[in-house]
Amino acid sequence: MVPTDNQRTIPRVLLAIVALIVIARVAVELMPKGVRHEGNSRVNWVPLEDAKPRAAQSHKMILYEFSAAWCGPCQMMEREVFADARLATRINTEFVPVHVVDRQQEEGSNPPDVDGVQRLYGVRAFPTLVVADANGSLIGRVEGYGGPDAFEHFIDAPRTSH
Amino acid sequence: MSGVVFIETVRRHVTNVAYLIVLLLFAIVACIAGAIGATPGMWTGIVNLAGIVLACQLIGPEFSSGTLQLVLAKPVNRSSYLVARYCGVVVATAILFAVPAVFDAGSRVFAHHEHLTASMFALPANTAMSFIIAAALFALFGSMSRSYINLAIYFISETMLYAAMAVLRAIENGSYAVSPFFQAHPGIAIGMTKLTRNLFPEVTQTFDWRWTLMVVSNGAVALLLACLVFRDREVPYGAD
Repeated sequence: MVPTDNQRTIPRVLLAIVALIVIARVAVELMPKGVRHEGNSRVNWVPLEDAKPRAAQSHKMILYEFSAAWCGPCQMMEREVFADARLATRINTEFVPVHVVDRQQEEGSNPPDVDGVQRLYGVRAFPTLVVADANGSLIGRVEGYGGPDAFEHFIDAPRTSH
Repeated sequence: MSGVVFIETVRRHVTNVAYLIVLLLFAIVACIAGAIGATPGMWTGIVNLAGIVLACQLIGPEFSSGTLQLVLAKPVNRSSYLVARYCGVVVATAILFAVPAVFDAGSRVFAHHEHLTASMFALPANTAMSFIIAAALFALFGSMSRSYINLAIYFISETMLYAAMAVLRAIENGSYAVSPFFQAHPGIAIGMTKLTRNLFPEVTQTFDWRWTLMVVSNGAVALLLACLVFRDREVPYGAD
């Protein structure tokens, strides 16, 4: 059965819709991605590049939270810890908090600064929490999420031993 | 798009007894998962399989059963027909995810007094959206093949790409004779990863509008390619 010309035509509306969607995608890909932090977090995350100067200035330790968009326990920690008013206040007052999102799965690679800090602290799983001083020296590190109490225990430990 | 074909495609699915039984089973599973406090949307894996069964029948089996020959004997625009079939199948698949998602969230609210949040729906919604591209690829592969060969092409392509991605990473991080070449040209592994993630995206557990736009745009391009292939396809009677 050979199609007639009428049957072969690609509708212009279809072409226009596909072209619009592709243009939107290209435009979005060209936009700067910036630092991601989603959800209801009450923590005042600091950009990665500002962490060390701020920590040196305020004499606070840096709390790195390494996570990824696909990581379920990271979302749980977001809801139970970073959205909790009391814990968020503690984090904001006692630390310089930095949220580092891995985009390896989605984009095939991470920005060099994200790769560098992940390599520095040996991040192999998500979430990973790292407490470091203003020079970047490791003070405490934990992999995985064990609930709000375990989180609070972790952030208490460096303070008591430092 | 042909409204009649779209409505008929959706109607044929939602009035099918097997479809309704499967939908009921998924709703029960989701309800139990919500009641025991499992991760929201953990049941999407099994619904995914049902979605693949629906999506792979978009065009190939229509050809083999002779339905396509009958439809195209009328002056129907082939692209409109294909787009309408595609939209109908995507809607039928979305219902398979939407109904259990409502039961999952509802049982969480009633059993655990949890607040209704968008994150409860993120995984089911994203998995359903991944069918925008999966169904378009099934339409594309089905436009150039018969019966369920589109399913074979889909899974072979997915397996090969993921395997190639893993092999490239292993070579890059290892100390093989060719490792220095790949270390000096990281764009090869990155390009392979991007191609794989674009064609067979991994579903995220949060709403990400960039990911959604990627899925929609890639699905639109795949569907347009399917229309281009399908418009010149020979559809002889008694093919199979």
